[in-house]
Amino acid sequence: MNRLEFRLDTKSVLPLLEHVKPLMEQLAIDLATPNVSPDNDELMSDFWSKDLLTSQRKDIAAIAELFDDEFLDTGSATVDEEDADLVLRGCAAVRLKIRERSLEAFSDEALESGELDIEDFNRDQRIGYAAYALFASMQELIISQLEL
Amino acid sequence: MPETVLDETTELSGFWSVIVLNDPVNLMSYVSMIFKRVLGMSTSKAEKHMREVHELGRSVVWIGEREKAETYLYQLHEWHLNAILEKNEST
Repeated sequence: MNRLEFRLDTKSVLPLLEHVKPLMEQLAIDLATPNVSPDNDELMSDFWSKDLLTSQRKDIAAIAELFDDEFLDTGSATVDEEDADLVLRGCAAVRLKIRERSLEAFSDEALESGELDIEDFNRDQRIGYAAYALFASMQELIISQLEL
Repeated sequence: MPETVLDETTELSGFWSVIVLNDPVNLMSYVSMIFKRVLGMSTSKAEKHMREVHELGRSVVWIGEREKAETYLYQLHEWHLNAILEKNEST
């Protein structure tokens, strides 16, 4: 994979990006997963979390760059091979946050199986789930290209 | 003068297991890819461990000394997987 280009309908994607924007801002402050240091020492635990947060901020920056003003003009987002890991991790972080914020009403089993009745969703859940699916599709596409 | 015997075993010595726990969010293909990338697993081994995580809720993906276990744990955390260390009592 040298470069992967996504072409998306900006009109459809814009509400999803607006939905995840505050979540991405939150991901600059909080870790996406409740992972803690294996060390009982407070100082070492603090280093562990701070380093993870620094890494996560780079992931989120890669997602923000992907959906920049140029994307909004053209509907085209490109992922270069050297940024693929950042984008993959950024997608994971965003999906974890969407699950926490918009899809918390659903069980793990329902979410994993995809057996959800979208008709019963409220607006926030519907947009959240669409964004959740979009970022999953992006991950699937990038992984399939990386593993060619 | 009495002879001093140093006990070199510490809380952190011995072998440690790196364990990945299931989460309902991360894709199976993503988890397999991370196992290959971070832990150097073959495709079949990575998929076996991914299925274990998915079906049993956890999988021991690596066993060894504490320092290297911590390095792997940190990398798995960087990829946003839910992972922990446990002392391996069977080794």
